[in-house]
Amino acid sequence: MPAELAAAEATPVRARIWDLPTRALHWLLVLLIPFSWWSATHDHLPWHLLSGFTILGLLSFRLLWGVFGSPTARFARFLAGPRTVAEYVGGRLSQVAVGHNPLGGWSVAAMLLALVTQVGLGLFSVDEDELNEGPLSRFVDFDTGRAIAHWHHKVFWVLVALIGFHLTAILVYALRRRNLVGPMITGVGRLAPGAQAPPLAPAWRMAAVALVAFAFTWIIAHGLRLR
Amino acid sequence: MAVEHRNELLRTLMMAGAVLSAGAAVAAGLTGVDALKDRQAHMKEMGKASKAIVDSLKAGSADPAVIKPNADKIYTNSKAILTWFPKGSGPETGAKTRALPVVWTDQQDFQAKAHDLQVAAANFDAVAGSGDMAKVGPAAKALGQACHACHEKFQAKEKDD
Repeated sequence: MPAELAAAEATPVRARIWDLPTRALHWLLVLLIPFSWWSATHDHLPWHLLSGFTILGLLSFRLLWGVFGSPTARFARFLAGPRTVAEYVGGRLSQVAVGHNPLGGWSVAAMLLALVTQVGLGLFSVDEDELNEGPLSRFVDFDTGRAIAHWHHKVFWVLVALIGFHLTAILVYALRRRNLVGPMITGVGRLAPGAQAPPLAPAWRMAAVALVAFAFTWIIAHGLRLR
Repeated sequence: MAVEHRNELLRTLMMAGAVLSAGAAVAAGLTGVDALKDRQAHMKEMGKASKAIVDSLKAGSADPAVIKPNADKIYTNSKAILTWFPKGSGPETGAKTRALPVVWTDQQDFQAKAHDLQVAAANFDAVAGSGDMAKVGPAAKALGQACHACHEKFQAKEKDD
């Protein structure tokens, strides 16, 4: 058992770990990723596109939030070096920061990267009937757009594999009596003794980042049309 | 009465279609895998033409210089489409194809849908030279829906390979 867990169990101190945008974004993805798959496989492509644009907006927000958001949401804080990851996995890390653990941070990064790739491919995908092609498909030719559509089908399974890893990790921690799901719902979780509760980003910053993400998504979804 | 009339018209068209289909396939002399490959090349040509049209519309203009020649290409192809499916050019060839056996077992519906495509392609071709987004946009959508209506029933979903 990692030292962090043993210590936390000795003296549980509870504090807000995850801010509201991080949690809302997480649960929206939980709904939208299966919905995107279902709508694509059941011939509801207009819904699939809307779902994809929503995910694009969420990802844009998340990437900005990884720079400007609350500490536990920031990439610079949760992406650890290889030695730290190895020490954590080996249970030799004495002090683990609040938020994503060194391995979990990379799991989150991998899922975000797969999602960015997936949405990016979708934007350029060409559909045979030219009814529901991606908004940026006019920048690629027919054959390229069809090849991109094939990759869009394949990368989905990479995403599924990464989500499988994520769910397995949650299960492993649950078996070690550590609840990761609760804090992602309420935002409140255990702190290691002596650890400081992380400060939260102010609401105005959330609004500013949301506005930028929305504007970016709007322009992309409209195919960069300048007229 | 109107329905009856439509059915009568459809029957005549289908018979004409069947005769045309058989006749042209013989005329082209393509059977089996050759017919299959020829069909795929034609379908791709139509896909490329559709994309050129949609790209122009998406860029915010119904440029007749782009749209008209591609509309002609689709209309010409739509009139020949039933000749691309001679018996024996389906999955039984062993070649990679997404054409489903139902193409040959439900010829009645297949020919009706081919006819719908010809109507949509003719309508589109008629407005393609106008340069008017308000006319070209909806006609393009109707054309795409005619493609889709047939693919939905007669074409297998893409496999991830």
